[in-house]
Amino acid sequence: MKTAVVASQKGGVGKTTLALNLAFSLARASFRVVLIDADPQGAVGHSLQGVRQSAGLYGLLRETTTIDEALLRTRVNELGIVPVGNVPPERAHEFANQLADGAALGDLCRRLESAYDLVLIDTPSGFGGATLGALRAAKYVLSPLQAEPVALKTLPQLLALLGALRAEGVDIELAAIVLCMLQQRNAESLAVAEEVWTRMPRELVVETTIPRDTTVLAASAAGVPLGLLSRLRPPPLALVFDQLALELAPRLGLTSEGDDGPVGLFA
Amino acid sequence: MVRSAYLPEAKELANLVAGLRAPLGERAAEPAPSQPPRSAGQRRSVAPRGEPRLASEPPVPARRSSRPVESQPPRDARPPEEPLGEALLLSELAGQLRGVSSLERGFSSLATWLELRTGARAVFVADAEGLGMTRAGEDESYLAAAGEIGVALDKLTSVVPGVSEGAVTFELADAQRLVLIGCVTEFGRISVGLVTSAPLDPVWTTVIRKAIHDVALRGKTTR
Repeated sequence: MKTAVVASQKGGVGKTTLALNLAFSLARASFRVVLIDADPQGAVGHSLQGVRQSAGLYGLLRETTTIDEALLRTRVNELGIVPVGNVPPERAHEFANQLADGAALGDLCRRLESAYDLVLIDTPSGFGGATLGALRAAKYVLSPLQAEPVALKTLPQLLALLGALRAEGVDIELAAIVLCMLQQRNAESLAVAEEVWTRMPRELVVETTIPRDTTVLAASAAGVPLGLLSRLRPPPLALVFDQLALELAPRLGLTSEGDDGPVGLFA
Repeated sequence: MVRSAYLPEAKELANLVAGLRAPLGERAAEPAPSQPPRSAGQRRSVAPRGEPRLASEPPVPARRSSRPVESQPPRDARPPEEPLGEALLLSELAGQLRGVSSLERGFSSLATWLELRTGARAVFVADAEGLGMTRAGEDESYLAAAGEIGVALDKLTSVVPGVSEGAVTFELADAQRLVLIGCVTEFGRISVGLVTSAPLDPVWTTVIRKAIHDVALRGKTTR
């Protein structure tokens, strides 16, 4: 089983959109994925309709629930979701502190090991306790990078943090930077993208980019992943996440180059 | 040198990237951007203020006392293993059935997985006529029992409204049990039989029934 964290310093860059839709696309590609929401504000839960009152991660930390009760099964057999649960605002700080050393999330990942190929952890913005704990518990980081100047200016902070964690002995790798909310007709947005493509090592930036698209809002309003927004005509953006999932699968250790190759057209 | 409005200067950026690739437990090897690299003659391996010690001189103890090693309290023992529930078991099974698209392979994989996870001595799958659905060498009498029980259950559900599918347990002679769990699918009634020495957790009834439907669905698409 592999573990990955979706993290970034800046908020509103598309972390939860990336986490939810990537988990969905990977599951549709037959990888068994469990998405854990470690954001005390419950971003994943807010993006999904039908997340029943589950004690979630918060309940697991308080030992008031079992994994099987906290884990929500979905329409896609391969996708499970552990929502954050109902974290009272006054307890959010304590919740983050409980996660900070990575032990609780690491233990949860270990207990999910036999049932899933990938544990994907969504985190709150910034590098507070919940994010630090997720980074300590996971092997890979995926960082959505909003294609706008302020977001790019925060990227060095993530790189510095990952370097510091590795120096601490934490086995964490930056698997990919994903350019999100790219506006191809906006000069500033394109300039940011170009800077990332030219200045960052090629292997750290995936080819697939997520465009700014109002369909994300429509899916969020409907409380579904993009792929379930329409039964007959899923939006093109859903296909972008499918493509991203295929590009990220080898970076997350879910597939290897040897798994693939040309297939003859004629049987 | 590349100048940028957004990302740091090339050297600092290279240093940050090097930190991602540094061996665990070590800082990146590149010098910090604020410290120009020293020439070979300037490099020292000892504290900058002291004079290099000659090989003939005895070593001088460090002036600063070593930091005492704090004894770490032992970590709490891990909580006892929580038994897997329905959701986790079904997800684990989905991995076993990945790529399976035929009834026979599906039920064989299911039987192998059940043997492993339940500790059952034997697991078999039977259809409504009591015929084996895998190539394993099942005991014919158990298969026949599964067929008979299936017929009885069909009668029972038509006589008593509201009776759902059940799990039936027989005690065998050698302190073993035969547990039969079945349901009606596109292919008629299919039963899974397990020969065990200990009672099965009730979660298995639901898991096995859902697994039968799952395998039947896979078979249906390739029929």
